[in-house]
Amino acid sequence: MQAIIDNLRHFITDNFLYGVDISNLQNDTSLINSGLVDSAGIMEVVAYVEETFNISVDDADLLPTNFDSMNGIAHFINNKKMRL
Amino acid sequence: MLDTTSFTDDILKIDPQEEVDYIVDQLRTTVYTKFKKKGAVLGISGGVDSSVVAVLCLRAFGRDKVLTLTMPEYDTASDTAYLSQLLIDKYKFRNINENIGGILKELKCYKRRNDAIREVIPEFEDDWKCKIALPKTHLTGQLNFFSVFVMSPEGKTISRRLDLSSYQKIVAASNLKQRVRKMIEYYYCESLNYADIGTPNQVEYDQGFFVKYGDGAADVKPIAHLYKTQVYQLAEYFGIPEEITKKAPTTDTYSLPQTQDEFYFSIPYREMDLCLYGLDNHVPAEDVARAIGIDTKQVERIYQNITQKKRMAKYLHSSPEIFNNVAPPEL
Repeated sequence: MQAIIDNLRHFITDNFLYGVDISNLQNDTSLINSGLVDSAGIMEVVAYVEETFNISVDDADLLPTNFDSMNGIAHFINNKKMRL
Repeated sequence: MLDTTSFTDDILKIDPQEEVDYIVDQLRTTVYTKFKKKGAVLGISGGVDSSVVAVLCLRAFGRDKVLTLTMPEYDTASDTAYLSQLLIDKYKFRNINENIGGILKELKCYKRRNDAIREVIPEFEDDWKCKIALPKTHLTGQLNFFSVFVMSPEGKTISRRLDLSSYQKIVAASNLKQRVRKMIEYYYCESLNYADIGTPNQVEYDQGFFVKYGDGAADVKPIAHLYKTQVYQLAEYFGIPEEITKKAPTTDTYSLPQTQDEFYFSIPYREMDLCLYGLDNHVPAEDVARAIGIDTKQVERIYQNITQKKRMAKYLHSSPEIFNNVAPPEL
C-alpha cells in the first residue's frame, strides 16, 4: 500500500505540481477539491493507473472514492489486483 | 441576509423593461463612447442567447448599425438556418451568410477530429455522425469523463469512453469552428468600424463554456451577467419567436444532436441557474434541492462540479501575462 502511495505521490508531483514539494499533502486530501488536479488531470491519473498497475478501469469505477485521493486510488488498485 | 428557506425560481425574476434599459444604455456607452465604434457585429445561431443579444443591439444602435452573421458549416443542424431566418425576418436584420465549411475543411478540422475519434472507435468513417457527451454525474456520482457517440448512415451506433489524448484532439479540432467564426466577425468589425458583441449568458461565462479566442472573444458581452432563465424572460418580453425559445439549447458543433447539458453542464439550464446562484450566494444545498425537486446529495455534487469548472474557467478568462508590470495604455 505504501509503495503505491509513494508511486502516486511521485506521479502527482511530477505531472501536476512540476516538482513543487507536496510532502505535507495528506493521503486522504481531495485532489479535485484542493485544486491540485482538474478533470483533465483525473483523466491522466486514470490512464496512469491503468498503464502502471496493469489494471482496467471500467466506467462504473470512475467515482471520486476511487480517484479523488491517494488513499482512494491505492485502495482501488489493491481491490482490483485482488480480483484479478 | 438572504432568507434561503423560501428559496424558489422567483429569485431569478427580473423586470425586463428595466433590464433592457440598463443594457441598452451600457451598450451605447461602451461601443460609442469607450470604444469609439459605429455599430455592432454579432454572429447568430438561431438560439435564444444570440437572438436576445441581436434585439438588444437593435434597440441600442438601430437597424442600420447592426450586422448579424450566420456562419454554418458541414455539421450545422438542419433547423439552424430556418430559426436564424425567423429572427432575421421578424426584426429585419441586415444579415450576411458566410459558410465556413470550406475554410474548416482547408484547416483539416473534420479530418483531425475524425482521426482522433478513430483512435477509440476504429470503425468510424468520415460519413458517420458523431458527438461527445458527459454522463449525468449528479445522478451517478461519477467523475466527469467524456464519451464519444457515433452513428453510421445505416443507424448503427457505438459509444466509447474517451482517453485524455483523444478527447483533447477532438475538442481542439472542434474549437476551430468557433475561432473561424470569430475571425469572420472581426473582419466585418474592422471593415465597418463596428464592435464585436459576444453572446454568452452568466452560466456560460462563469463556467467556462466557451472557446478561448473563439466565442469567448468579444468587445462587449451584454448578457454575461444574466442567468439563462433571465435571458428567456427577455426573449419573452421581446416576443422572440417561440420556435427559437422552445428549442432545447444545443452546441450545434457536432453532427449528432448535442444538448448543452450533455456536453458541459450535465444538468438542464433551470437547475444549473439555481445551483450557480445558490453556490454564489451561500444558499445551503438542501434549500436549493427543495426548490429544484432533487435530493440534497445531488445538489452537493453539482456544487462541487460548478466549483471545479470555475477553477478551470480562470485560465480561459485570463489575458496574456505581461512581465515587469507593464500595463496597457488607459482608454
